[in-house]
Amino acid sequence: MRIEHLSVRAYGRLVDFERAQVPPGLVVVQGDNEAGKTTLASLLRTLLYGFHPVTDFPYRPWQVERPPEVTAHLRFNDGREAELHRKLQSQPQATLTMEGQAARLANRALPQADHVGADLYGALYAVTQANARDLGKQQRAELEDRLLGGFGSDMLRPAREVVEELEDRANKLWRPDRRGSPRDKQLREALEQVKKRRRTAMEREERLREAEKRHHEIDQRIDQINGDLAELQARIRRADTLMPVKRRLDHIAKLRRQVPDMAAASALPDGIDQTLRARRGELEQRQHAVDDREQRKRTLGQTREAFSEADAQLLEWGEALERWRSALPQHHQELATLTELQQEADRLGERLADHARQILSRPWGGDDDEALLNISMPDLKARIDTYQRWQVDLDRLQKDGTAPTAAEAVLPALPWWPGVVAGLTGLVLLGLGMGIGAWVWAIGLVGLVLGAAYAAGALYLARLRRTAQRQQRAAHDSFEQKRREAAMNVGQAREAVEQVLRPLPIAEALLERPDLELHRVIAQMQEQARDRSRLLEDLKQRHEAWREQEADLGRVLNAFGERETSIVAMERAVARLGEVRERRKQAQQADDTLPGIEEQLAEARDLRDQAQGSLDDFLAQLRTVVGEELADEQALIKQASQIQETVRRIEHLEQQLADEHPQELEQIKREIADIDQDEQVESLLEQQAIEQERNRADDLQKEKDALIDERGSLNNEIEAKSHEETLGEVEGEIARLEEQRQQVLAARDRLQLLANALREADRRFREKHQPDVLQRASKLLPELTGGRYDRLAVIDEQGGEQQLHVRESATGEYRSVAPPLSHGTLDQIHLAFRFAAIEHLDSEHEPLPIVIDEALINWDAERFENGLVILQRLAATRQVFLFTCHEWLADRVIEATNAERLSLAELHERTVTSA
Amino acid sequence: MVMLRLLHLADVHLDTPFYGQEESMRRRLREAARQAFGAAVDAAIDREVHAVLIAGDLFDNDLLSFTTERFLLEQLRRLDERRIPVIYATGNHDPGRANYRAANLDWPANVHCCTSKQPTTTTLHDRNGNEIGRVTAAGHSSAREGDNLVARFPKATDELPHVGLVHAQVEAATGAAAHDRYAPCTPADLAAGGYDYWALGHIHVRGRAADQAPAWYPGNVQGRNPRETGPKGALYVELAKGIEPVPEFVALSPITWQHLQVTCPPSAQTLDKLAPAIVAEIEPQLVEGADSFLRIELTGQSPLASELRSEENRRTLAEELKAAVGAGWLEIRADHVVQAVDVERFRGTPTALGELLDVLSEIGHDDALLDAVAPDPLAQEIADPRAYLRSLLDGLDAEAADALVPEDQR
Repeated sequence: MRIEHLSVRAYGRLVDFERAQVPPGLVVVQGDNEAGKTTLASLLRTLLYGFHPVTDFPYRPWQVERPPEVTAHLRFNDGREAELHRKLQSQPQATLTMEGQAARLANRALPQADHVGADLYGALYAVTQANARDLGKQQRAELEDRLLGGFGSDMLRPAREVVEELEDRANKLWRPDRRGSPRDKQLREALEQVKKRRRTAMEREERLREAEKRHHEIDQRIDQINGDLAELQARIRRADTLMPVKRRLDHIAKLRRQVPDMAAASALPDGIDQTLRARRGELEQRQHAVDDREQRKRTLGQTREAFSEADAQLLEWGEALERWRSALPQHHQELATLTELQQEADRLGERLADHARQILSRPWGGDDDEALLNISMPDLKARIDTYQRWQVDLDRLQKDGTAPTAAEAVLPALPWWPGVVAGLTGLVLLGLGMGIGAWVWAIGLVGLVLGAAYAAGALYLARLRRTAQRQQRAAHDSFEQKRREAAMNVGQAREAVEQVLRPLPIAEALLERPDLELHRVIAQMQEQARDRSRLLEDLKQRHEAWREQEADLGRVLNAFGERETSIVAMERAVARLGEVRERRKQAQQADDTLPGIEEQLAEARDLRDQAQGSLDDFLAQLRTVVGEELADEQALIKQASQIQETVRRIEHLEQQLADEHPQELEQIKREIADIDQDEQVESLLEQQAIEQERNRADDLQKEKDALIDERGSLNNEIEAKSHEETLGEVEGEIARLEEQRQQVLAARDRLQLLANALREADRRFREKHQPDVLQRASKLLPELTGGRYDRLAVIDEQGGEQQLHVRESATGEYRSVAPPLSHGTLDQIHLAFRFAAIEHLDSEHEPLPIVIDEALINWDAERFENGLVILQRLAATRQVFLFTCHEWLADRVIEATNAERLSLAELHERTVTSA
Repeated sequence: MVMLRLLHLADVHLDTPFYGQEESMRRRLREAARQAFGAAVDAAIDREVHAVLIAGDLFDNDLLSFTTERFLLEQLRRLDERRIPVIYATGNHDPGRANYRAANLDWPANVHCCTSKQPTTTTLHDRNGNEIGRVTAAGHSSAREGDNLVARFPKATDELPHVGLVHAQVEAATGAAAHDRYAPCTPADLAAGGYDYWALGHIHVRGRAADQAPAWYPGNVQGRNPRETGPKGALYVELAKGIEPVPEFVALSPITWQHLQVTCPPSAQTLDKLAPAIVAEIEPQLVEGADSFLRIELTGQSPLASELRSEENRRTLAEELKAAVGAGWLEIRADHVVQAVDVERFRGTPTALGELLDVLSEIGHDDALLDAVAPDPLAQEIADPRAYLRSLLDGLDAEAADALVPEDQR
């Protein structure tokens, strides 16, 4: 593969190269330091493998604000051409255009370079002074690993390093020797410790079971001792306890025989004399209470009787009296009001008489009121109005007085003859005219017409005149008629007025021409008469009511013995009513209290009877205690007191026994009863035998106490040990550790298996690839070293490690590729190794460009020339870029190999415009 | 028809060594086994069973502690007070010969302890004293009983329901391979006896032991380690002659073990992001009603493979998950978590890794190559080293790639 043209839009310090031509074979890139050689080397690698690293890519242009962008025109060994364009913006982009097909590569390697990874390419194909002079053992081994272990990939760590790491991890888990403190060793030690705990736990369990067994034995022994002790103690107790008790019981029995009735005597209270006095005193006290209640009962009876039947009757008037007591002032006031009203009625009567004198022909009479009030004033007014209207008509007719004007006075009468004359004349003239001539005919005709017209007018006027005469006569007749009718109506209307006023003796003059003034006076009188009438009616009713009340008041006060209705009488009656009510209240209270008093009286009588019974019973009890009838009470008391003293003695003795033997007195009594039946037991109570029993009991008690102590200790031990670690728990811990150990051991074996497998894989890999590399290197080595060394080989050293060796031609001896070989020799050996590896890798792939950066600088002249021969041969199949800052070196290479120079400074000049 | 009511339990393993990193956890498990047995007694009393059947391995002989022994007898006395008989056939962990614990305990009167391989029959009665069923039982006298005990059982010809009780390994039963082969028998042996129900013990997985016969393992009452997962307990059986029994599982274990596999999401770049992803994965799978003890087996490719190799990191992650899901205990295993390396990319390539993948593949079947690369010596004595080494190959491809490919190249 060769780069034919190179276009750089921007890449580090390089900018704006457009299709710069690149020589095809050995290319000497000469430039000063920082001229861009390293940038160009990076650019070549970027073309093949993309931008690495993408983040913070180190060759971003620092002179222009552009993303890195390069394009190369490539020609492959099979003759095909391709255009490769790469650009790094936010994401890497790459396009490979080949045979008209464009393929996106993103940041992937050029497919033709993918058989060598980017890192391996950088390490192997780019030879620098630094990596060519890698002479230390570690570095060489690393190089070897990188060259061999990394074939086909740039992603793997050196197999040796990984094997060491795996074995180191495995050894940290388990080692076949005793070195270090691997995890398994720690676990084994922990297991040992736990197994010791297991022994302890087993011993503890054993001890617990022994303790439990001993505990059980002790329980049994204590039960046995308790049984023996009980038997012994029973016998000793008989000796210590029964006999004294028996003696006292015998004494008690003797005393009991002195008491006729033990129960009755025991029941006697202390101080018989005092008791008797007390019961008598109580009887008297109860009797006094009965007397007191009876006295109170009598007093209350009298109080009830003080309220008599008369009092009860008076109380019935009480409410009426109280009502009258409050109404009495109003009653007296009403009487005064009646008097005033009567005076008012009298005044109204006088005013009515005054009016009557104006219109009546006599003084106002007693019956006139009714006649006056019966007059209908509207009717009267209507009649007066009618009268007055007719009177006015009559007056008007009489005032007019004459008949209407005659018709002839109005219409003159025409004489008839002028018409006849004119007619006749005309007739004549007409006749003449017919005979004489026309003009005479005409005159005759006019005369005839005029005569006829005159005759017609005279006739018409005469007719009108007759009509007017007839009407005039009729009007006159009508007037007369009206006047007569008006006079008649006036008379009738007056009559009507008089008819209304007839009940009253109205003065004649007023009746002659009645008017509205008359009406007004009568109306006023009527109103006064009505007021007076209503007043009198009211006065009459109120007076009647007052008299009824007065009668009622009189009856009420009369009930209380009063003969008058004065306020003083009222006060006396009220005072009497209060007294009656007080008596009734007292009587009611007595009614309420009396049942209680009767009840108290009954109770007091019961108590008195009880006290009497108690006294009688006590005396009867004394007689029972004494056992005989004693008439003398003092003798009875004395004898009963003596018996009572004996009973107290018995009780005291029995109480002593009960106190001394609170639980087992009855048992003791039964045992005493048994002793009484078994005379042989008496022998057991002998002192010597008792002492022996007592000693044995003490021994048993001591043994029991010791056992109880031991049992307590065992309980404590069991309790304590029960909470300690059990065998199962320890076994659990052991199982956990064993499991952990199994895991650790399995993990170790797994890691070691992997390490061994990797070692085997590495061996296989080296077997596959090393021979070819070594053979190729061996061919190159004599050329590079001038024949001093002729072969490279990998030879196992002590410890089984394989090391690179070189054979000296002269002696045939292998020498390790390491000092004391010179730096230059080591460089040459590794360069041979490197070129061999490159050829091995590219043998079935596209040969990739090689970059050699000042790597030849340390070579002597002969080896330099030999090296150039090899470079020239390599350049036959690929581009070889030889970077140097030394002009002389560039010149020598060009001179020796016909290589072409690619001056960085002249790159612009090589820029050609695309056709 | 009166049904014969039985509570069938087995493999209580009181005081067995329990799995657990911490002593407190082992104590908790030990206490859980006792609680489970106490719960079994409660269940027997509540359901008024006619008998409790214990099919062996009630306790671990050498390990039965003094206090547990007291507890055991106290619980059995509770049944005695309720007049519930207990038929107990010994197993390989609690054999019945004279020098073992089973023969020396002070059993209450209601316990019929069958310590001999010779079957004995006990008749069961109802509350009125009427015969209601029979139980024939045989026990292990030694810790390594190799005889077929079932074959010794007499034929069940009675009119009453007849139950066989034995601690035995039924060949081909589910889970049999994980247990020692003591008192082996076949399904045909079980079918031959004509029993109405076989109450078996030994295998810790609950289930029917044979299709040909009504033989059941109740499993153990409390899981002992992360392999014994799920709810554990006893079987409640109602029996009538001629009717196929349908045992009812009675959960007793206060602790439920769960072994959950979780594939690490490659998107989880930090442990903080991994934790919620795991919680989301396991929460739906948690068993309710019991204290969960969880083993989380992480697998797959993850950028956190290196972090997960650290025990401290795993413990921190486990504590976080435990708090998040409310588990009683939680363990993280990440042995098979590898870096996100595409192994197949390297297979067949001319690289050391390509060669290594070939070698790992070949040693799966090439004994000579396996012998050549086998660790010498092995860290432990192994009867079949090749099988052992091949068992270690699982996931080794990815681990090889993990070791060889640098992190920045993945």
